[in-house]
Amino acid sequence: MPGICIISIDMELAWGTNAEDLPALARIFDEEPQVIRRIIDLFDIYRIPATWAVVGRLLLPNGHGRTPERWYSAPYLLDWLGGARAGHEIGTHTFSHVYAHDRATTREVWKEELRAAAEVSEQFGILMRSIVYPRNQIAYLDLLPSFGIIAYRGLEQNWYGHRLGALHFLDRAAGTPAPTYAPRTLLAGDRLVNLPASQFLIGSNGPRRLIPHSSRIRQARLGLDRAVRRGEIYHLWFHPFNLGGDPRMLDTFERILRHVSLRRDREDLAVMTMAQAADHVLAGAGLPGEHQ
Amino acid sequence: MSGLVILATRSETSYLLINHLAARFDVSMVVFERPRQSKMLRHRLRKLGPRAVAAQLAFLGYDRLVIKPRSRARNAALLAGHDCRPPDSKIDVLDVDSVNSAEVAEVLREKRPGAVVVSGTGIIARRILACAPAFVNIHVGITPRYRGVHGGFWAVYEGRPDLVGTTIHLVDPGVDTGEVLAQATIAVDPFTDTYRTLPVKQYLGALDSMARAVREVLDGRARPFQRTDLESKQWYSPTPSEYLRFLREMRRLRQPEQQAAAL
Repeated sequence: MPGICIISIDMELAWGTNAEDLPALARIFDEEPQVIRRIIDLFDIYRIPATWAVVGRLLLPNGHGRTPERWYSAPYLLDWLGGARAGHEIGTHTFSHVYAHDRATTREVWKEELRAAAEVSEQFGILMRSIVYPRNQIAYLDLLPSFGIIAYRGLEQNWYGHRLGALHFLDRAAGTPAPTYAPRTLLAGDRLVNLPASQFLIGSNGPRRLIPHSSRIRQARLGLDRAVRRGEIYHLWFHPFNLGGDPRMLDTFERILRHVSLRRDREDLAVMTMAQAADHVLAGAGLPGEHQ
Repeated sequence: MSGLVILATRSETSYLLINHLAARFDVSMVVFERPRQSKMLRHRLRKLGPRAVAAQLAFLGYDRLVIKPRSRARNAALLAGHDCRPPDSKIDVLDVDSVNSAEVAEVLREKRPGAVVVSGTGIIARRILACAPAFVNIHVGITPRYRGVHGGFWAVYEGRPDLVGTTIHLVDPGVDTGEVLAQATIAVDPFTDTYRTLPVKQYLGALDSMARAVREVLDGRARPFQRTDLESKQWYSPTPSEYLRFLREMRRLRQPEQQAAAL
């Protein structure tokens, strides 16, 4: 069985940024639509579909009292993604980017968030089947299936135990092989699949500039090699603004895509959206021995 | 005088070759030489010095721990459908410490083979070579450029994927210096091939050439030749830095414009 490659993108513009950090990032947010456009174009060139986990409020036309509006509303995304040839999936990143581990986010609040996100999806005729948790704070998994969600992106299971900080930085700088996951280990329920992250495509701002671009590519390449060798899942993720600020980042991203497409064209690798991968895992679990 | 004697070391690829030949020729005996790593080590220490040997040992350790397990599935896929079982139950087998022992000379005098096929043993002494009309060796490398070990690896290392292949040659007292009977090249797949899969592919790609060459030798139709277009060079085990360069070359071959050149 070939390996599987998933790319998911957290589409939140400024919804996930604390107010005090906004001024420093203003330029990046202003440029973000152009970066998104470029990313969609690259996906089209290499015919690679991705899962775009979009904050529900972004799709609604106007203001939520937050300004500048262009940082909090992006209805054009639907046209862009719908017009792309690659066949992207639009998942959800909740309605308003709430943090599931926040004490204020009770079960009721979370349910309301999902309900509101589902409503937005319904309004635009989107099938909401995948979720990415804001800040990867995972909770209330049992509520997902009732909203039709079959896939969520779990935490990266790496050697340093999903901590940010020095070890994370070192790991990215060294470009160690990204972890990959055997499909049969990923069932999280009868109708729910955990698709853990393999690699966060780390941006190139602040001290992260010290991380060589070749390390990011190397990490992806070794992860993909491993996924192909073992028939496992490799899952890359990032925010569009991670690719902003440094023009070399888009170049790095393109080189990773080129590698993915090379292996896809050799039929070593199947590129899937999160929902497709989840379907694949569920089908494999339902029919033991038939997906060999 | 038309039987074969095979001199080999015990390994999956040797079994492959032996079974392939046994299906086509009358193999009267197989002699297995036990591996003599300590002797080889001493030889290399004398010839290359302790630093080079230490680096080679470091690479061999990495090979055992990483490359070999990672290549296992791929090699199994390559060998699927081929008979790699030990021939012990079907053919007379003799295990010896050295192919140059008196025992081997005795066997050759008694069996009077038309040709002796050699795979992976140490240097064969003149007195043994005198015991049979022809010794045919299968060598995983295109001679004379890639004599010694890991010919496929070193060809990639030097950026010559077109020279990854196997040589069937007559044995003389040097290291892979004998006259060539046949050469077969293989296509390198830069995505799946490793240090460990190349030799298996080289063996598989040369089985038929080997059978043809042996047939020609037995029939007295062989036309051995020497290649003069390639510079002669003997190679040893890689060191870690050489392995890194090999990986870089393999990555370069993955680029679409390079792939046409490799095939």
